[in-house]
Amino acid sequence: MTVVCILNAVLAFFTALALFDSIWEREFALVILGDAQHSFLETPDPTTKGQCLRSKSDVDRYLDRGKRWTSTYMGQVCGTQGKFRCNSLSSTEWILTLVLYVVPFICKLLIIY
Amino acid sequence: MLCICVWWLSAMLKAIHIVGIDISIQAIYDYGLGTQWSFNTLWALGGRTSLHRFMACVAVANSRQLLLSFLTQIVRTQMSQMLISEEWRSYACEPWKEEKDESSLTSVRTAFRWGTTMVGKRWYHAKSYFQPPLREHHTSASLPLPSPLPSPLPSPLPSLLPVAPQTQPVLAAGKSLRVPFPEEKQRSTLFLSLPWSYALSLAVSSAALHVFVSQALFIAQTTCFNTNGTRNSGNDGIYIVYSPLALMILIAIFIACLMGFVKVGYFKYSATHQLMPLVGTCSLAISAAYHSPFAGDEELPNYWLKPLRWGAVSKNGIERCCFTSQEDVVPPIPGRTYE
Repeated sequence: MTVVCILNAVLAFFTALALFDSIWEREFALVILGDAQHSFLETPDPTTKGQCLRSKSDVDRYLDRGKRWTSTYMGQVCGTQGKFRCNSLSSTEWILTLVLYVVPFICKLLIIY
Repeated sequence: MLCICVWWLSAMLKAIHIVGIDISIQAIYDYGLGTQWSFNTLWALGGRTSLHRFMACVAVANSRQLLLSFLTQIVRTQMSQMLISEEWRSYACEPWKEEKDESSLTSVRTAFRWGTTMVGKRWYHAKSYFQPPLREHHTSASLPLPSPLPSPLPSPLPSLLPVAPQTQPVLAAGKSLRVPFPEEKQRSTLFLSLPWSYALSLAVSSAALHVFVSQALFIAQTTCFNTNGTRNSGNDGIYIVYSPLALMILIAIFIACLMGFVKVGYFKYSATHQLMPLVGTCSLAISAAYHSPFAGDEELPNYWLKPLRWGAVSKNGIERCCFTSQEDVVPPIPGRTYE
């Protein structure tokens, strides 16, 4: 219990340090989605100009090995992208979570045995 | 998968029953939490001193807590990912939906509410007639169902009134950004960083899982005495013991959590929301949606502080999907090319 409390306090301390450090340095901290939106509305990023319908999976596809943005294609056809809330996670992430749920379940059955 | 688990469980219970252990629900309930019986001792770990044995047992019994923390952290992260995507898509401009008509007698509850409002505030009925068309171009104003009670005012019959031809769909109000330090119309962050229902259910489920994991596998120390009452420390033992009741509850909570997680993921977006790209927390994809062709001149000054909508706008032949404070934004049309 004591160990858990101490480790959580350390985590909270470093999180607060990261937050206030970035506020002192740049008077602006990217904490949640709204901050990123605010920042990009104030100063639009020229890299992605003309590619308004890019999604996360597109970014994975067009980033090269050096993590540079290679797509210069202007204009995209609008279409349905992800009908369900679960589409925001990749299939790997879903499989990982389900496996993590199922493995302890099987372990418990083994213990009962 | 579930079938295999159930089959496996029943086979094992049968095997346990043959050994001679009572496995009825009442018996499992009576075994209780945190009690050691002849059958539920798993291991007696070896070690040179009793301290070594004790520490080994502590490490084995608590290693499950570490794995469980790992699991709950991953589930929390993925839940946040899904809800961030929903937050992102909530900015998509959508045709304004009419609020549910208060006077429609669809159920006993609405009928009761209708009756009470009729008695309590006689003007309410008239207000509910006039309120929906306050937004412009509202053509589909529905007539109230025939009601048994007489109306206090003559019905204005909105569908017979002359209505201007629709040029543009009426849109729901825009949303302002959600930031930790809000200015002007911006919204502040949520108290638990997720909506209450999700944050509370996550916290409660992870707490319950941790409690029952600690009860499912625990350490039992035995102290031996001789028949004449003198201490017999040579036969003392430290064991890892499991509790069948805690394991059963744990399995139930696990299945409930898994079903809840899948249920959260199976929410379907509306047709206009489906057209908005899913970006998650990818900054490159986020930045792509912020190139308003009106930026600088026609947009409101500091328009990031005002309510915003995501949709298609056109200027000088350029059609683009972006976040904007402009009123002439429309939902994008599938199949059309946008820059």
